[in-house]
Amino acid sequence: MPFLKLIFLLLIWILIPSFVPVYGQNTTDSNEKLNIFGQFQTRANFFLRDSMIGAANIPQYDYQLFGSESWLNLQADYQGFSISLRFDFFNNSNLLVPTDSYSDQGIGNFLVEKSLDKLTFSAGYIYDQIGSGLIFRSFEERSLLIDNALAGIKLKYQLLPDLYIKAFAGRQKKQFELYPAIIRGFQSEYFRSISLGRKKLTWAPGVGMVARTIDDASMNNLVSTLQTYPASEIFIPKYNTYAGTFYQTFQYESFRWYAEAAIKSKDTYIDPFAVTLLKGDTLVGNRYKQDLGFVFYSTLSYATDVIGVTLEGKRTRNFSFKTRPQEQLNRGNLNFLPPLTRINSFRLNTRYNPAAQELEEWSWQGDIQLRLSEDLSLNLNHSGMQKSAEEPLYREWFLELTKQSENQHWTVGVQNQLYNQQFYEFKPGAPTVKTITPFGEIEMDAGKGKSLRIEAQALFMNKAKDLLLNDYGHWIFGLAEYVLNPKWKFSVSDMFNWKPGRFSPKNIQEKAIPLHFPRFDLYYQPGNNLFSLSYIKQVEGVICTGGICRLEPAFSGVRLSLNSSF
Amino acid sequence: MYPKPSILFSLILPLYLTSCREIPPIITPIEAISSENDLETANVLIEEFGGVRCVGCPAGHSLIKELKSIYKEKLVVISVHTGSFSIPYSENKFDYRLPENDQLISELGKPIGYPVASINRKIFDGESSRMLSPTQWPGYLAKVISQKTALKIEINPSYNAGLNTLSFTTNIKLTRDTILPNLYLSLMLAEDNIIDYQLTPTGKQPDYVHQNVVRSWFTPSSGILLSKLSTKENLQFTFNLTLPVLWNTNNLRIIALIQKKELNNFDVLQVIEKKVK
Repeated sequence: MPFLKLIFLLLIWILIPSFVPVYGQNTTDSNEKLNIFGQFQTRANFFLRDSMIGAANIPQYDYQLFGSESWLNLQADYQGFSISLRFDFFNNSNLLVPTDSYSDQGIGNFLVEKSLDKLTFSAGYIYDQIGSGLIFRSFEERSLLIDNALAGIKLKYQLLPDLYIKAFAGRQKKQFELYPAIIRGFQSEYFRSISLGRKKLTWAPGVGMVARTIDDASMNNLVSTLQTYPASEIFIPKYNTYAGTFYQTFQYESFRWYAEAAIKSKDTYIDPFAVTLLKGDTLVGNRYKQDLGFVFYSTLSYATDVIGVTLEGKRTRNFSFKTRPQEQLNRGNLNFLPPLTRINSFRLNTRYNPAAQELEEWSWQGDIQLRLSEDLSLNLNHSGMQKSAEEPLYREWFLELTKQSENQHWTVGVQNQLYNQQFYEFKPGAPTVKTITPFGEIEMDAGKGKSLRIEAQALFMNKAKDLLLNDYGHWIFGLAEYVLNPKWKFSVSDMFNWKPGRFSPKNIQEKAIPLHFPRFDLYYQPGNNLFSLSYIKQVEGVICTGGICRLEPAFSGVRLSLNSSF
Repeated sequence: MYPKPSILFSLILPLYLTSCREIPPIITPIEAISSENDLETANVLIEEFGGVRCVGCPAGHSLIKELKSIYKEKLVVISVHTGSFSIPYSENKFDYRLPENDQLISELGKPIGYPVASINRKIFDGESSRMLSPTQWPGYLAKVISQKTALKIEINPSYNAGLNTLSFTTNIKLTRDTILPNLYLSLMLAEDNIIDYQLTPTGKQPDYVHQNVVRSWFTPSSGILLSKLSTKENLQFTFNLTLPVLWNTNNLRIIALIQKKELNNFDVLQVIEKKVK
């Protein structure tokens, strides 16, 4: 068995030098204390069926009636080691697939990290990104149950005080399993500060590369599918795909410029809008294609005490980068394409969210923050998204004024949106949505820890040629939140579809009816534990978190949650 | 000055990413297979889930039509209308929803999107769900198309035009001595060529031709447990149904399938279909 002996010797050769410095480091850091800290989060949903709003026909509403999700994070630091562990529990949860029930439990994450002189190594489930994430980002987005951790190893070496290199290899996590494709990557970042008289220019360039090798089963499946394609559409798929990026940040006084250019070698992806002629039928939908891809992304900003201006632009073409070509929607993403739209917070302002497009997109955003006086400031924002020079996909104009006095904080503004519902939600014949949404908020401090916050918004919808209001029509929203003391908080709100539109829920006479979507919340926070009890009726819609979007069905029920940190 | 090991390290790292030129897979366009069915080779079941409001489903139907032209009688297709996309429009002639359809998708696992189908109700290696998107159908179909079976199913229908009633017997036996425990039989009726409304990418299409639509179940969708099978004697079941007058008996097919049920293994071992007339 000479081969096994060779492997054994190789392992000894790798492991011994790895352990010797670890021992040495332990000796020098022997005074360090063991620190253990963590967080616990749980959410329990009691589902109350309401077929009128669409909260029905999924197991939780029909017969399971209850679902929950919990996470326990533990982290321990000791003598230069950092070890983290996360337990995940899902019981009839609707987080993974909003229309289905998911139950499982196990170790959702573990990671061991150690620094030895200039080298830091990590093993386990790794969260990381290169640049702005265009070619690689492994992350967790709990509200959408996305956990793209890379199960593998990572090495980071500080070559110079201002230059490091990093390499990693592994497989992407898929709930409690792993995708079979092997992913490996490299990143290096440099920082340079140049004095120009009294002023300083800083330059921080970076370079990264990621490669993915498709596993045999996925390739065989892909080949079998391609064999059924007409000869003109068949291509030879690649096992290995390479993506590279160069990014840099210049900072000079109040100016900052970030630019990133990423390219991807020929890669197989699914085009969800492909049009194919198949034996007389015109087929619109998923079809494999193979192309080169690229993304250019840049941000230019200027900020002083009085004014802040940001301009952003992005051009994307064929940049779907997944762990295997078969994955769709938010599954198996190796990268992250940042959305260039304003992250809104008020309820009706967030009703229409455009998801970043992987295959074809031109997008831009401009934002001005202006301090008009000591207590008055203004925010003007515009963003847009386009697939081609034809019909616009998304436009938003947003104006907000905020006034801050000693015990009052006022916010008023208006938002104007154009949203191509047919495209983003794949609703044929849905006319383009155009909204005007005025909003206001006042927060009053009553002293002794007491405060009251009131929100009011109205969404006015456009009509199409058939004179019907688009989507759900007009909405109004009101919220009152009262903080009794640092431990207790109450909130009540209602979202009212006062003039229903073409897609509003209809009664048995097929007539759209005005519906209320109320919500009551009770928060109690003694120390590090935050308990909340909520009664929720929530309309269906596209929910985006951190730029990742998903069409969520309506929700009706009672939610109990707990967040603890220790 | 860069320390020497660092230079080496930075030189090695890019090599770690590169590799030799890869040997590509060979793609040969697939040709239609012989329509003669080998008794030892199992047919394959595609259960496509969707509904009249499922805008992506017509694309799935076209792909199934293409696959059917390749695999002919080896492929048995049913279209199961279920979920929120299956709620009929007021213009629809029929409501294709059935309680058994809902039970079936609950048992097999709900998908994250449509169109979607299961192939032989199997969870393939590397997949966590039975529900497969259209781009995966040809690949997994090719994987199971040569699967052998020891099950022989026969359907003998008898249609009474006067009473518009359907009666049929199903005979099941083994083709070789083997032990196959925990087998379940499911029987259903599917109709082709129904012209009715369907949502398509261009809007509601009034003259859409619906194929393979499940109209009725003779057993629970989860099936009925089969007692011990033998190579000598047929296990026989008889079913009767009075057909609704609006169903076109020329387009009706009886479908019988036998599946395993062991823990999370629901694999279909054999499926056959027979026209009512």
